[in-house]
Amino acid sequence: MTTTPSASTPAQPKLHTLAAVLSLVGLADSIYLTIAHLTGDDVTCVASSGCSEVLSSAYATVGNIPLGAFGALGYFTAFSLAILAAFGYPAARTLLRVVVGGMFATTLWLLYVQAFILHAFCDYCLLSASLTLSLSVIVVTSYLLGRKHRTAT
Amino acid sequence: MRRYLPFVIIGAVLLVTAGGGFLLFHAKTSRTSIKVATGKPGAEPAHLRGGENARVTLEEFGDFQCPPCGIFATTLLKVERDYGTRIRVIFRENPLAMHAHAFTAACAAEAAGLQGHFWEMHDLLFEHALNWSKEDPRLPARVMPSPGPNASPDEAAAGVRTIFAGYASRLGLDVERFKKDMDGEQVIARIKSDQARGASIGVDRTPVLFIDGVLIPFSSFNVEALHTLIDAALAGKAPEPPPPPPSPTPAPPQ
Repeated sequence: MTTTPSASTPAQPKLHTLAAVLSLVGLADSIYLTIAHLTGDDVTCVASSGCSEVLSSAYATVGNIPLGAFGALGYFTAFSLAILAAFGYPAARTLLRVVVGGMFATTLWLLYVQAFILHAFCDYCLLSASLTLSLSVIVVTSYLLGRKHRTAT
Repeated sequence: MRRYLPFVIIGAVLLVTAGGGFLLFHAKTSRTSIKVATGKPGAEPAHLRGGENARVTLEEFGDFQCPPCGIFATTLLKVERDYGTRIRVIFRENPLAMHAHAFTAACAAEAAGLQGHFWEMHDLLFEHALNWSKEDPRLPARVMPSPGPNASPDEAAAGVRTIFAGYASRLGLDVERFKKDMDGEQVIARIKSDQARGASIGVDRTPVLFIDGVLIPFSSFNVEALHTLIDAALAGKAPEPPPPPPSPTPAPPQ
């Protein structure tokens, strides 16, 4: 990774800071789900009614590892890269796009599983999905702004 | 300084996350206590599946040769799948003397348990109970206490023992060790401990189920009723078995 901060458009640090904040929310969500899984705690849904079905389904783990743990890892990585990007590290911006791209693809798959296989939704999973979609919008916007800035200069 | 600031932020978040996660985990596990019926402790460690730290405990006393136990095993498996790690299921041995091969089956399950495959053998025994239960029914039963001096336990249950050894082989167990363990003191002691626990809390038949230490009537041994009881227990309420159905009233005279 390039360790020298580089110039960016004025809006990009703000976007990356927003991405870092959203990643923190996602991190908290994922950690809560992971701990609930590990302790066998009941996760209560408020807006939807399928928390039990989703979180105890075969899709809620990979091997013996709860999916939330992977989510936590993804969000922490996204947070770290967003912070570095906000401080002007250009390689972090590129890596952030890759990581968020992977999270976006995973989110689409999990939404498909909830909608068409389990026929049940879970609030915490939907929160995570909306955060990942927001992160995707942010990194794409940041990328487009950067490209426009480079073209202009 | 600004050059290092992002790394300081990342490190701080990592520390807060790890610390917060640990505290949350600790808080949740420390308030989780295993609620079971009070009585003699039973074999330790108990055979347990589901969430090790789950809030709700289902403790079953079963006999592998009892037909209702076999049916209930299917029901319970469905419930286990529905609740995943939110419930903890304990199986206790209670082979009844009236079933010729129940004790041998319990020995097989416990011997598989010594190789870390109790539940796999438990599932196989229930799944194929109709097959092995019919095996050479003329053979005398091997029941607790030990058979009399004229009956050789090995000869008495030879047919089913061969079948159980086949199951052990299918599960990838060390079959020779399995056969040896089936007659071992450790296995017998576990079964006796479970039976002693059962006797101490009034278990006199099979299957018997306790949810968080509350005896559940046989009429609730179906998926819907168990869901209701478990949901109540998860919500922090003591599971309340439904009242017995009202006795039929005589029809009014025509």
